[in-house]
Amino acid sequence: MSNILGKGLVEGLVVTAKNFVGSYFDGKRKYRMFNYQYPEERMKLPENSRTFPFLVYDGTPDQLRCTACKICESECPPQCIYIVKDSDANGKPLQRPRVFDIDTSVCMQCGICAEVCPFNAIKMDCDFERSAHARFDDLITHLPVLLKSNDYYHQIKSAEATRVDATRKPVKKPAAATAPTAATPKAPVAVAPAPAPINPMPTPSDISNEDERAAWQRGYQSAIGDGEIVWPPPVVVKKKEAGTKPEQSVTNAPSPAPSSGGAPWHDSGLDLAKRMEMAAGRALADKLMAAMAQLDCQACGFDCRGYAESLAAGATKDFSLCTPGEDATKNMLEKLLKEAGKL
Amino acid sequence: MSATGIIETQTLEVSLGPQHPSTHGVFRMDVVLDGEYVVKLKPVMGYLHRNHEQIAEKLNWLGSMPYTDRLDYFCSMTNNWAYALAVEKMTGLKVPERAEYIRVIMAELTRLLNHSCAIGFLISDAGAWFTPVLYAIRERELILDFFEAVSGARMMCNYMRFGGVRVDLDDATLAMARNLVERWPKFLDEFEALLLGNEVFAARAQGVGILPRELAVNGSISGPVARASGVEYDIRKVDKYGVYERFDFRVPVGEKGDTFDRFMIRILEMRESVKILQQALRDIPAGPFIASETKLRNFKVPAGDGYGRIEAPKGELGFYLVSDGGAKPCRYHVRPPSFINLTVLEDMCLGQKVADAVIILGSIDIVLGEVDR
Amino acid sequence: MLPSLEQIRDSILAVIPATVELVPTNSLRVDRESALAVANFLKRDPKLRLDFCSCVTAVDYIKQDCIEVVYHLYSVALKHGPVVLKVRAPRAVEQCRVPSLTPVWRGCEYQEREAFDLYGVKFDGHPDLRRILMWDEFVDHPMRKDYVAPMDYEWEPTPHGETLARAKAQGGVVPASALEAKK
Repeated sequence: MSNILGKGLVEGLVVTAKNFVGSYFDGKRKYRMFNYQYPEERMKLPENSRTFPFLVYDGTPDQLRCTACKICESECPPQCIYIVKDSDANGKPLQRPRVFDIDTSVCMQCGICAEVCPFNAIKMDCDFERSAHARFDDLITHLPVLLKSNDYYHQIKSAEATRVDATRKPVKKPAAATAPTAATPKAPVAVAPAPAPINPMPTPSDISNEDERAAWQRGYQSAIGDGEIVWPPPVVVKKKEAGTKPEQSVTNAPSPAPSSGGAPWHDSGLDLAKRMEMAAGRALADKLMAAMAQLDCQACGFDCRGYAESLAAGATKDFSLCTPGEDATKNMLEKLLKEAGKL
Repeated sequence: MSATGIIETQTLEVSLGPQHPSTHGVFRMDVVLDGEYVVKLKPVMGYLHRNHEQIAEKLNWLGSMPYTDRLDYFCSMTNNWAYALAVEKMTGLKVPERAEYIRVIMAELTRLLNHSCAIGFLISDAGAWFTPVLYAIRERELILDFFEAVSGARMMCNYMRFGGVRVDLDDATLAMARNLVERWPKFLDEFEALLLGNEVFAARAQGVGILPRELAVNGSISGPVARASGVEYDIRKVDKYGVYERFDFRVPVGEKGDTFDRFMIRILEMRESVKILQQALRDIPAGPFIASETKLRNFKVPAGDGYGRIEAPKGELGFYLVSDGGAKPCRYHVRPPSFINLTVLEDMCLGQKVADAVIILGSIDIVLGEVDR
Repeated sequence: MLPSLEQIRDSILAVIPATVELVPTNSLRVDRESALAVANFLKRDPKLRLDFCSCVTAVDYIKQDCIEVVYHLYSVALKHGPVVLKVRAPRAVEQCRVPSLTPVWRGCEYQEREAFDLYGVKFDGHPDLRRILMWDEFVDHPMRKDYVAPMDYEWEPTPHGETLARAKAQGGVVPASALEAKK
């Protein structure tokens, strides 16, 4: 390499010149120019691309897949999901959410909620063009805005949606306005038919105009409960010695259903082996209950205690209805029922 | 260098930062200047302290994974890997082979994008207004598009899981990676032609900010900064984590330890990373992408403590975890390379001009997300 | 090759009258008074030559009423490691002092400052012990397990769970304006 002063500078300038001139002849975006003139031109996003979550429904919004089991709420790292389970006129819980808020100013789009949902109900959207006018209130997405159809899901993520459709086991839910006598023979006998829901789910896409949508949303919220969202009662915090920070034992898991004879295994934080250990030596119904996912999510049509008792009594034959429990629960239930001679 | 006896001079205290285009984030240097020469330099950090370690004590083990993306926000894949490695050490989870290859591919791509942009920003600090950075960012965009196709997000990937990775790479995405790696040597040739012979940068960087070898070892300096000073220590070769033993690559080591050496080391490391990527993409086997014993929910780590470290692009990134057998960590500590590499900033800058202090900081390559956590 | 932990302990005890105990499975616990001598020995011993202090952490064991400072040591010369050194100090802020190992390994400087800032452990012999991550006028040590954060959290529009419980326990208020704005 010769030592002319400035040779390195000139070499660098040659590179810059090549890039400058070359950029005019790079229409196919092969080497130097990658810019897309947004918003006139848009890049095609890859299928896996994720932004904020949305809830999937099959067919009509009443048939949303979410059962308000609250797994996503408890697993969400920044705790941006807030769910209130719906209940009928008698106060009996229904398997769907009455309130499902995602605070998009807190959501960090990690996708953990979509990974842990046992019902394939919450998935990651890829819509990044969201802006709002107000800083706090408009950034909370409520349930009607979150509901999007399975067709939309196929549109944005066709390979993933097809895989999900092929592998998921749909959970039987009572239909919106018709009585559930049209349910399949698998429907458990012990449950009383669910009444028509308090607030029928409207289809968000029916409303095309933004002002109308806002007005409808306000009306929806006032229909929930006189314009006020009812917070759940605060959890009583156990205080240690005075002056030290009380140990927080608040989780967002639903409170366990009242069960006879005590059910120390009724904690969704325990794993299967531990739960079976706790129920060792108890009656068959107790052992069956310990094998389940302890969420009282009613995917099976009962709460955990009810399903266990129905299986033990022989009223329900199908032991694969515990969706959050997945294969581990199914295999354990099968084993217990075989040992008891029920199969 | 003050003139004694004739003119009375005073030292000048200047606060470089926290709002400063060249401090690579919200970072402050309190320098005391005698004319233009640095007499004292105290780094002040903590402007981006987000309490990551305390947040991790409230979350379960998996919940901290998205937060590790945001430590060194340029290199989210390697942060994820370091955390997953530490947990896998404590639980004994075996990672399947395909997942190990995928992790190596992601880590080396991360090294490419980090080093190219680090060099670019260093040259910008030296005054070459943004041309090298934008060339580097252009190539980085392709890698980010690849990350988006794989994990769903460009920067905050949240891709590694305990025992493997979150989703598998299909053939189309692997082809994308292969195209990327084919382009990269040509980009490196162009980058070198642009920068290496440049007399201005050589005059500014050679002999500036020398870090002696003994100080580098004693000061716990790691990564390209240490290797530029002659410390032959690369965690990929020493700890042999993952499947790095199978790849044939060299570790470049510098001689003088000045800014120019730190710059050259990064260029040479990029070439080695391309070699590793070519081998990994050629040899990647089929198989499961995550250990079958792993769990997403109710994941518990046996009681005890463990330290897992990797060769992140900026240095040694380690995670020290203490578990009491439960679902949440009892103590979660990040050993950040940028933070510790700043220990010797003052030593390198003493006696240099204040303009050199800026490029010395650039050559250490810090990211404030990691320094402050 | 790194000798086993028992061998390292024996070679330390042969030279320094320290109290060194093995913590299963991978660390050595040293008493405060001899920590500096042990550190010098570990650095200089030709079989160990632990010249690289990789990580310095403080851990708050509130149940055992102590704070433990953990050092991870590696050797760049012999390319082996790690040897984990643990030093205990009582939790009470006035008594929480350990000797600083910065004179032995310069890399401990910032990390010991961080342990002081966040845990309140004082390092005797540290060249410049002051806060590093929190601002200078900050009071208290935030990473301790019994630290109570002050009630000035940024208002969160959907406080629920722990934040709501803490707000109510500490007398905080969920602003009524939040509820009214939704009407």
